[in-house]
Amino acid sequence: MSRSQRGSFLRANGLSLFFGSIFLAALLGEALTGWAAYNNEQVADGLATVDLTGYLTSASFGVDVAENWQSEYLQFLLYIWATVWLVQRGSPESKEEGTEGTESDKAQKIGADADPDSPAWAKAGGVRTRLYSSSLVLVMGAMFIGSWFAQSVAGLAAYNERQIVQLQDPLRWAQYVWSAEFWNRTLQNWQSEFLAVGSMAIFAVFLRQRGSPESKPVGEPHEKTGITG
Amino acid sequence: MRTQRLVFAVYIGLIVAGLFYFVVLGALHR
Repeated sequence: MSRSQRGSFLRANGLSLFFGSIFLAALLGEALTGWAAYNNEQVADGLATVDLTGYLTSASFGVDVAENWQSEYLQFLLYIWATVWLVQRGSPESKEEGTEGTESDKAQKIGADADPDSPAWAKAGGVRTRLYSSSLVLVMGAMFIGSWFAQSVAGLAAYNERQIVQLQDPLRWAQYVWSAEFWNRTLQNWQSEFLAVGSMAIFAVFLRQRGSPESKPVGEPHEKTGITG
Repeated sequence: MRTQRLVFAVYIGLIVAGLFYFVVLGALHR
């Protein structure tokens, strides 16, 4: 890869590479600080400390990561789905009132109304086009369900390790997913996501960020909906 | 779109691998 090719790769993928990089950095920070906190608890409980590998393969690390993943995917899943059916007058993230729903084939450029350069599955019609028409929600939904399941499995193991230390009975998976612990971990993540999404939907009506497609142009009137700048 | 497909695949791969790891982790600790 030449220097100019590398430059164009970085530039063309700036958003995903930037967020991918800070994700890895934050995950590393979470691992190191989680390891230290875990060992503090082990010492307090009179148990042996673990090395970093021991912490990274602990159920405690797994549940902490997975519970945050599930709530983020749920947030995007709900936002993508809700913006099909609900509008917010004045928001750059919203459609105009009257366009709620999945819209016509013509508006969505599918089947016979597809453009020559439309994705193959948008042109195909039938089950492929139906599937592709919801592929973003389906994949985000699968990520959400997958992370929530991972949270439940790792959370159960972490919970039971503590139960055993405290000479309490361990739970089965079916009991854990109805436990206060599981739902408390879940809902404390959900509440913050829902607040942030709701804030964004209404803040972007009246507030601006010059140059951001998440915002309307600075001089755009508050009542204009669905315009990004 | 070739490099975008690559980044897309890396993201999906990372997430799926991560989820698989956490599920296996939880199952091994039972």
